[in-house]
Amino acid sequence: MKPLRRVLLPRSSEAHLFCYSFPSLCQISQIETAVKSLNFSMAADDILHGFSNLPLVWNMARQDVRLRYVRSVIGPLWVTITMALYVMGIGFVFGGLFGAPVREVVPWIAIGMIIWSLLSNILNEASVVLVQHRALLLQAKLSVSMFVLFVLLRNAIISAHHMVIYLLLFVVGLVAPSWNIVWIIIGLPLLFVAAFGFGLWAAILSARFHDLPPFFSSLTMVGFLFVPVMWRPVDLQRYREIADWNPLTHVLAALRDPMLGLPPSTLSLAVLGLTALICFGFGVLTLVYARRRVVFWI
Amino acid sequence: MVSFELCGVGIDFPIYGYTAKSLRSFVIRPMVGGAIRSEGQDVVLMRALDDISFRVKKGERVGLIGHNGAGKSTLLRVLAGVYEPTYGRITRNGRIITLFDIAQGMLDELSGQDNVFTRGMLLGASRAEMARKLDEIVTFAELEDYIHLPVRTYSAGMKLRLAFAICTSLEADVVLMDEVIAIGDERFMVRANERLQNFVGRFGTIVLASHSIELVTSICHRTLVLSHGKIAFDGSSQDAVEAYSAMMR
Repeated sequence: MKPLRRVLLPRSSEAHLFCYSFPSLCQISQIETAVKSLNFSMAADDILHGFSNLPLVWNMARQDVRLRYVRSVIGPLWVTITMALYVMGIGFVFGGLFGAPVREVVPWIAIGMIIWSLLSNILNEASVVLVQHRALLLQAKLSVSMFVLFVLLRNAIISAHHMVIYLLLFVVGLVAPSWNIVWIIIGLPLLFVAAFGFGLWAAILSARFHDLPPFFSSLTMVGFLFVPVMWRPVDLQRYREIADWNPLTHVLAALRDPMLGLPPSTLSLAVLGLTALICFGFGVLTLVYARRRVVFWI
Repeated sequence: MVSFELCGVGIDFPIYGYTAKSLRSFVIRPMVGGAIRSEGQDVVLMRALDDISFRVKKGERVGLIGHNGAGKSTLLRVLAGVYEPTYGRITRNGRIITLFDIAQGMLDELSGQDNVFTRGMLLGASRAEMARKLDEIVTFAELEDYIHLPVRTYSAGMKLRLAFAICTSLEADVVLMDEVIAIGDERFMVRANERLQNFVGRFGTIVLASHSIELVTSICHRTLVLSHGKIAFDGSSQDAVEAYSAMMR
């Protein structure tokens, strides 16, 4: 028997239009759009839906973090303690390995780890968030952006716990207070835009290609070695190119330098800006192309 | 005022992970869903809905009946906007509340109260709106102090009552329901039916998919019979039941 072809239903051009309304955005609205064409306005609606539901997303993120501490005595402190021990361990081992003074290395590693764990967790969690929330996505018209923002907010909360370590660095005098910290007012929003962008494409592509979540987890594990978190570019005897030509070096530097009390270099900020632009652009394109297919993939 | 208008709507489900080769031998399976055919190397398309056209006016109560896999749930999800049609056109008007799967979408570790907020907000209500309705929801669900305990400690009946109470407490123009209240006990069925009648009276449009002919005829005055992803009958509930039983014979 020959496979049935699309002649089951003739595809007239006008039959490709359908109307659309957002239940939670507005009471009554209709937007006519073509199904098959690349649809920017519905991708924009998706992003709008995510941001207009920030109270809900914040609620979910907060509850999710709180769930991790259920029946734990010191609760949220565990996040901070784990990170602090990790930083101290790496600080001593790698400080000794590279012959760098521990007083200089510990703040470098602490701040680098906070930023790196934020980024790698966002990538890894975004790649599974849609499948995890399959039940919700099939219940009502929701948006991909909403779940990407959920991952972002949840990790922002975790990072806020880590920032206690940063404050401790001030208290023990390893980092001197400086006005250069205000540079993160530029760095953080750019980082957020970049994370939202790569969160979008990681989430959508992972829904379709189930090889991606394990790929991302090994990528972040191996990538950790090639990014100047545990080591400083100046400590490298050879292969300086690993640091210099790695965009992540500059992304990290754009945020780490102000937190260390140094002014960030123009190059770092430029690379961060460009990264944000590329990630966001690619994220939106993925959304435009695959938004309506996501529910069929999960 | 029209709540829904569908014109030649069709849905193709892509099914991944099966090689097209292995499925080439049985391209059509008549009893489950629609036609299955292959496209490309690794993707199989299943036609879940085919050429669906109908119009639901505001205030209409429409039932959906049909055999397993006829496309009832898929059609409800199309109406809800979860699935966007592969073919055809759909117009949707008004705020839509869905009651598809009671057990799903409850977060087990959270307390009942937290779930009231999360679920209500997922359905488009604000936190303040849910706070106002909390007492009324707890009263209907007969949970009393249990509302502060994690949902995982609830019995199936308690979960059902809570989820049902949350969904039916919201104000909406359209309610879409999929076989939800048929799993409660006698007492719940009576109370749920009462609440549903009020709810329907308040809001108007309702689309209900069910295997329970009684439920459909008691709530809906119009019924669609689905078969293999197509509309086999569209008319008054009494006639639809006759057409359906004739079909099943």
